[in-house]
Amino acid sequence: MKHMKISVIIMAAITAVLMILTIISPSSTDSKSLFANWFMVIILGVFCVVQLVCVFTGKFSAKRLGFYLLHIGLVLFLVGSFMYFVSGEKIPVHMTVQKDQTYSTIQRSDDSKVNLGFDIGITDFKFEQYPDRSPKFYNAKVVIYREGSNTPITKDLYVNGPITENGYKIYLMSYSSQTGDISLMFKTNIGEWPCIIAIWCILIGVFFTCFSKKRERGAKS
Amino acid sequence: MTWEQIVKILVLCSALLYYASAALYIRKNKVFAYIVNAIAWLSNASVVAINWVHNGYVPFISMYQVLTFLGVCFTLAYLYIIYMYKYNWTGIYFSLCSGLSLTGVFFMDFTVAWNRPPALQSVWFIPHVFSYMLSYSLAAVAFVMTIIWFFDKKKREQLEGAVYRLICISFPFMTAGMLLGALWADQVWGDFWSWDLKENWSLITWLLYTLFLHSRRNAKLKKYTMLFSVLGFLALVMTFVGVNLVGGGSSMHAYN
Repeated sequence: MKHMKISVIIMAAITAVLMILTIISPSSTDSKSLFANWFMVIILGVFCVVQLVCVFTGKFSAKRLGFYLLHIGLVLFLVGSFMYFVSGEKIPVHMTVQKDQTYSTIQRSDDSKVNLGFDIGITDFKFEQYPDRSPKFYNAKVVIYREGSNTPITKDLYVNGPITENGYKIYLMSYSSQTGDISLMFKTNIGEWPCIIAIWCILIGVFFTCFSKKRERGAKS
Repeated sequence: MTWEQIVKILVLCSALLYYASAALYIRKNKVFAYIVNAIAWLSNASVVAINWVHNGYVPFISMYQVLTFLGVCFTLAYLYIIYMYKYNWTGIYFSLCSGLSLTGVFFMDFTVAWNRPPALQSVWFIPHVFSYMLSYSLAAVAFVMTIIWFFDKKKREQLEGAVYRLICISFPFMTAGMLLGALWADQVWGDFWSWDLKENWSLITWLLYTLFLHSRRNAKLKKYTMLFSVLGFLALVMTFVGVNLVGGGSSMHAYN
């Protein structure tokens, strides 16, 4: 409880910084460079330390399971995000439907090449529109040849259904019906699973904490 | 008569009946207040049902659809509050907020049929919006009660306890809305968090309510509790409608 004041002050400072930066950043692109930087990493690092101090200095009690899950989950989420911040990468790639063409390398925006460790191509693409011609459905048939193998592996790629291959998560981002250009995104993120586990820890923790009997007693104080 | 005209009449009836129900709560005519509230809710729910049947998906796409659904959430939240805490006296605030929510619908595009783009065809879509709407309904009522708290010194203790309980229920759903949205964003955009305008304001809202909950448990910080309730709700309004009005075009969450 004695660390709560420090935690509240840090949270208030983070909220104020977030609010000021959000108000002064006119677009999402600018906003990303404002927030995803080392200054924010340091603030959030201090916040993590305070969270851990809060969790580990108090007397352990199984009744506080929600509290532990929530606060450790928050730290784990920030650790997972940090792992992506230092080592993750997103590479946009444009392809067209070509039955016999596959790619083993992709190009970053600075023109450097990345060897995927597998060959990938798009053999078919389904596209449906609403009567007003707005997009209704996209689906790309992807063919993959793993290194040293001539056996094709076909996978379905959807807007909400990315595929994973050799550490890459591949997303279907958009499609141009005029040019036939299919926008994909290749992403590497070693912090993905820590983030997913953290999200479920926070969710379970917050429901346990807010609906606990202890919290109910607090309402009467 | 077109579907747009039918829903307009139903929304108008619902809003007026919610206000009538609030007036009846003030006059302490509880039985009639409940009856009028129930009729208003059925009328409100029928608008949601029409949108649902007409489009073939849960109607959470446009601001008009979401606001009509928000109106439905107030009464559901009220029933839970009565069941849990016997807070029947809060009925006026729930009815008033439902009426305001449906009044807001009149400023939105009333088109019943909306196309659902591929990005919104996700399993996370319904729990994400549903959690947020449930949480927003409780936070809105808590805000109204906070404002009353500032002016009515006789009821302060009663109002303060009720505000805390409402936010305690609202907060986990707000967290669920935000985090299920993050899981969805990872599936569709490849990032849990994109520092988008709407995401930033939703995080600010969440942090302010976190500050509310923490400050109440610390003797030295307790005096700021109600201030955080007000700031939290102002940030919530910015997240929910402000972002779409101020910078909606540039947001990844832009919708009508």
